[in-house]
Amino acid sequence: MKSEGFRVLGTVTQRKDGIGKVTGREQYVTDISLPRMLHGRILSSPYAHARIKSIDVSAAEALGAVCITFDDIPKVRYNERIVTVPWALHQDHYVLADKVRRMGEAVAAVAAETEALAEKAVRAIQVEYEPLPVITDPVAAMQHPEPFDPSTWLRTGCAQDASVEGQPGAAAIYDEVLLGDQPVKIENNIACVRTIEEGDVDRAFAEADVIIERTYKTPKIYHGQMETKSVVCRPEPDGGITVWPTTQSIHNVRILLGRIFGIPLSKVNVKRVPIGGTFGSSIQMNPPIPIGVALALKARRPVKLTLTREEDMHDHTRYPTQIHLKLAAKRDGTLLGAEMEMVADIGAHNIQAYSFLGVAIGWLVSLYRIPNIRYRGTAVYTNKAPSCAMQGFGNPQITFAAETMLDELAEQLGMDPLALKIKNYVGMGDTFWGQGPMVRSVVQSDGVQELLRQGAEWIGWQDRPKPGSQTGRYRRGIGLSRGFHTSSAGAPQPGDVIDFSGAMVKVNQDGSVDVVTALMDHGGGTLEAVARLVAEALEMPLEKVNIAPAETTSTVYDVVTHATRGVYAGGGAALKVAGQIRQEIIETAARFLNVMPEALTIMYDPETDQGLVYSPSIPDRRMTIGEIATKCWTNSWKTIAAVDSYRPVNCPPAYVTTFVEVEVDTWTGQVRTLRAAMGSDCGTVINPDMAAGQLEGGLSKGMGFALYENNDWDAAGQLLSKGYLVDSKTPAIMEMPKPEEIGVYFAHTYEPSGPFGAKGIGEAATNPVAGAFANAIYNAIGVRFYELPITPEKILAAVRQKADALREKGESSAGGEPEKALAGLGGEPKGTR
Amino acid sequence: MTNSHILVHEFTYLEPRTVDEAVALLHEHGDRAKLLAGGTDLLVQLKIERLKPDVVIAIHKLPGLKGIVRADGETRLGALTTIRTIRDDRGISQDYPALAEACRAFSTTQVQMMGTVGGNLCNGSPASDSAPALIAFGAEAELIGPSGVRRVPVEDFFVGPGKTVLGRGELLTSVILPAPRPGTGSAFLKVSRVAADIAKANAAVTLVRDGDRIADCRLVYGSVAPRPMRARRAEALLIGQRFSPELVARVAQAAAQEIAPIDDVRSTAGYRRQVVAAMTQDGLNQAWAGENTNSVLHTAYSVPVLRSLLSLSKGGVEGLRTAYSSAGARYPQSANRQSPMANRQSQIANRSTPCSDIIDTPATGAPVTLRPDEKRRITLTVNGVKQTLWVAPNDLLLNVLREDLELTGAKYGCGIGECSACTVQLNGKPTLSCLVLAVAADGSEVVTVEGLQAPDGTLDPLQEAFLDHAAYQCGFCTPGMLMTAKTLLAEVAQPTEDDVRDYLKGNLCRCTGYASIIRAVMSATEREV
Repeated sequence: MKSEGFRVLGTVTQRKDGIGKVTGREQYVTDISLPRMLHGRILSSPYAHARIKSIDVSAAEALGAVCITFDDIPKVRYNERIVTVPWALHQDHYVLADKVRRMGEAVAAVAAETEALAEKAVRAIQVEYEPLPVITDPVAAMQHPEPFDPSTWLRTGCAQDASVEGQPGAAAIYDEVLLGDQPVKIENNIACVRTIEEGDVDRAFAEADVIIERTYKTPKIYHGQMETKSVVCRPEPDGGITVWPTTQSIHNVRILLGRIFGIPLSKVNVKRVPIGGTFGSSIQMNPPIPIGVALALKARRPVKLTLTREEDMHDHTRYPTQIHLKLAAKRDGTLLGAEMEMVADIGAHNIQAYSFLGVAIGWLVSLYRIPNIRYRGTAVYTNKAPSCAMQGFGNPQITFAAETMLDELAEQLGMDPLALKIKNYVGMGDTFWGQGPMVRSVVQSDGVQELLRQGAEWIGWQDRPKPGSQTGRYRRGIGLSRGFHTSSAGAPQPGDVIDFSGAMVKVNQDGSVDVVTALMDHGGGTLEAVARLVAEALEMPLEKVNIAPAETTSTVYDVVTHATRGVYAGGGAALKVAGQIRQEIIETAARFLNVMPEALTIMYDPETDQGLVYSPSIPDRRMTIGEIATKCWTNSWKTIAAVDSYRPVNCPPAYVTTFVEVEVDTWTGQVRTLRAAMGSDCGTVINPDMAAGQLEGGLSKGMGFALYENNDWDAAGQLLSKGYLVDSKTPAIMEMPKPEEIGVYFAHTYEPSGPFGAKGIGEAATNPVAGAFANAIYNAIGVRFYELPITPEKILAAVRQKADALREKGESSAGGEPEKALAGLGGEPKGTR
Repeated sequence: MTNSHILVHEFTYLEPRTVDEAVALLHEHGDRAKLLAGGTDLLVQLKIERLKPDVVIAIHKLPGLKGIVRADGETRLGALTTIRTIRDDRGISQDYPALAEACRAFSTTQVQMMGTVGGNLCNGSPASDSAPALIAFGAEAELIGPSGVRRVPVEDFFVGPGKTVLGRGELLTSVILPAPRPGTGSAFLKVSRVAADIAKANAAVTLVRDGDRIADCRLVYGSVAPRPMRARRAEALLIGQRFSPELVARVAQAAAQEIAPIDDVRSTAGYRRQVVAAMTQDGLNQAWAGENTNSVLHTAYSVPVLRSLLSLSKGGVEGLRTAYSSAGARYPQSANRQSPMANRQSQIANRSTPCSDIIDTPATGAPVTLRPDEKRRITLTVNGVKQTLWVAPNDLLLNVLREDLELTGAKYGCGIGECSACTVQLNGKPTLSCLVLAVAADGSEVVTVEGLQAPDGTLDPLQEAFLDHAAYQCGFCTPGMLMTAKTLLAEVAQPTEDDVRDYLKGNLCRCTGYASIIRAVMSATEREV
């Protein structure tokens, strides 16, 4: 990795926040307790779709609880996520529901002295509901008010694949929502549509030698962050509020709370609190936050509101998608064009669906050079938990489709998938718009081929079996998938997505440094990386760079820690300010030393273990940063400090490749992950341990998406697991390959636009994983899967189907022993249930 | 929606001091009462409000119901014997290897150490892991009730989901395994969504070999019918026959037809039939070969391979002494460890006399009656400090630690024992504090993550290892991870990677992908030796 030449970057040290985390002293929101604090509980809807006819809280109040309903809260409609500029933002949400649109939606809330009393009170509230027809299938949802003719506007027809039985003439989930401050009608439950066309698609398909067309489906999985969403709110004597939330953006929470409750932002102080994982689950201002605030304001006392796991699982999920993809290629593998249609099931609320539709096609065309594209994305409301960003924001879904399709295309063309992918990938010098058509930049660093070469060698790509050639019970296969994520959503001009960061750096009187940033650390070490960048820039030892506690009143704006932008954009901001500090240190020293500033330089001095300002030509004119800072203080002069904002004008791709080797048991359908090679091009590696941790974690979460996780809702809009983790399984330690069978490696690249050459890594790490698994399973058993997760049930059914087909064709050998042994069972049970 | 932060349901807590008292209370309260043993099932059912008993009768401190005894060839498992104790017992591994395997495949470390065999049976789950193995070995349940003692074959113990033959006032006191018949081979197999999970389907096979013929056999399946079931028609095809691959294949299909599976949240009926066929073939082959299932484990199944545990000499169980029992033999190294940290680790599970069950000392004093509107004074020794607390019947240990004692290291993650973020050590064993009634833990010793660090601030070597290997990201699962791994280091002298995975199989982490955690625990082993 390219960390040579750096003093701090690339070294392995213990994290600054580590001791708190291994001793149990790290305080998460749920650990915070304030004097006179009440405990809140939410009354959530037992129906997925219902009108609220009446609410009676008198019995709850009689128990001594403070109660709030729709009427107690300002009637402000908002979107939980305000990354989109206000005039392009769809707003359909109230703090408490006017009408319930999903199971678990907050209808009322209470606060009481203990959680047990709050629970009693919340159960004492009487609500009269009028249940409405429930819509859970996005294609069925579009049938409102009357069945539509798919040919009129669905070009390639995801609709044909979806079952619409039982939900004809679906009810309207919304009549209208706000777009900016303007009401817009919602028809056919379609939240928004986005069409993009570039080049001459019809000609591309006319000239193609090969056309491949498939429909992919991805599930509505749950983030599964370990800490459930939580908030503590304290009303202040001056009418303000102090809020400790689980969030990825303290400033966006502040802006929304200020708007909803009509409080000037200067009186809304939102604290940064360590968060127990997020993966996108707190990318928006989550429901408990404004509810907790409303309770605290009404009670005039601090309130803590922590979701139970069952509530949290009903709260947000990844976007489930149906992706119909059609690809045109020449015989030599050159991609000519693509048509893509995507239906995204956004659940009961629109959280950045318009952006989601934009990035979906962006992920495709920024993964491979496809000159001619035609795309239509449709976001549909259903009576399920709202879909939101989850590690990748559509990228894992699209990459699964694209990478398995290229694997299939390579086979049709008789090419090595590796060669086909190298031939077509978006790399150095290419235009790139992963974050959607408004966010374009040119690739300036590209480690793709290095990653592919190293991974292929490590896993033994050339020796992988021929697909479908194995006949034994256990069959092994190797799969490859590429992927990437953008580092931030930066672009040369402002678009419809807000993206900038800020930081303050100040030099304390002993020469130590405080970095004050609103950036969030989800656990991956983002803030540690920022400290390293500042230490590197100021020639300081890492121990003397402190990441200050952060709150909105004392930090400058940072949009949100998402889009794999923490190090690249947040770190970029800190580095920009550190550069100003460096200059101010020199200019200050110039005064003290009576040397022209241009003649001075700063270098880390091991002897004093700090930065030393000196003039190479007059060696005795020297001061350490500590001496300079002290003298600034004793001379009653100043604090060396700077604050600034930083807007990234690029969003470089953080490339990744995943190779996995799996073993499929054709008797049980179980898949075992034997080995995985996780390669990352994150530019300069700032902290090798944490970068590796991102890749290993990305493997685990990608494996969950590929093989294990499902989070189904039934036709009544009830979550099958009921919100209990027992029926929402994620890969645990047993499912992972042994640590020595996970190869983690980095490309030797330097991103010119990044802080000390760094790009992002976080979301990228998981984006290709599902595609690699699907390709590896194909390599093992010769069966393609187009729908995730690839469960043992699906594998066994497919293996059997394939064996039956072969038997019908009279081929005796290819089926092998296992299918023979199990052949007599038949698909359907004959016995009783 | 339910609220798994707390136990919402209110009940009267009764803690009898003798079996007779327990029987009398059961008889008195009948269907209004539920028995509490390890709590891993009952507390979940209470929290998700599937059960709402007026009375909870806690029997976990009753004398004479715990441990493994051999007499006249029979092996008697006290109803309060934990799954972990059975798994680790050398006699069980030798004579009833499929039962040891079933206990190994059973849920998580914490649940194995908290959950009891009696509780697992009385829960009446069709998906029980212990039941098929017990049935396969012909075990009987001994029940005591108002009209005396009776024995029921475990096979006939189950009536339907959640229902058993236990009558009013009846208590399961022990499970009796008949002497193993010479020539018996056995196997236990399980298929589940992930390793630490309830079975999609499981199978226990016993087979008595007579030359090249099968003298007798049992094929028992779980999670494929309303109760654990024998496939008697399939068994009949085997008895007296010469063992052959063709016969095995035929029997596998017969068994798959004989079961009565359904579609549910875990799997489908069709899949269950297919894996029952696969498990039957594998199980018969293993049992016929007479091999210990450990040596030929198929990767497809959810049972970990644990070679280092097999090579450990294992002692017996406290309470009821067995021929194998010898205090200290089980963890020979932990007593000899001469690390500089040895002294301050004494609070941790580093004791010269191993304890196998969470509460290992029968209670003394008057029986406890605690009504819903009352609080009772309890004493806990937490991180070496004696604490006196007033608790209600439905107060949970996790909340008492976090709120009353302000020890917020242990975390609420799921509330139903599925994530292990709430793990603390209770009397030396990693315990899901979200599933422990505080009143039931009265008199116990508790160590939380805060207790790992010495009073002078010195970190435990395991904590140092986690720091060095960046074995955490968000840190929310870390306290539970540490408290579970600490037990591994205390119990197994030189753990392998597989041991680490086995001990930590129920500790969920969504950030790290676990590799750094395995590396950290392995390196801590080296530090401590």
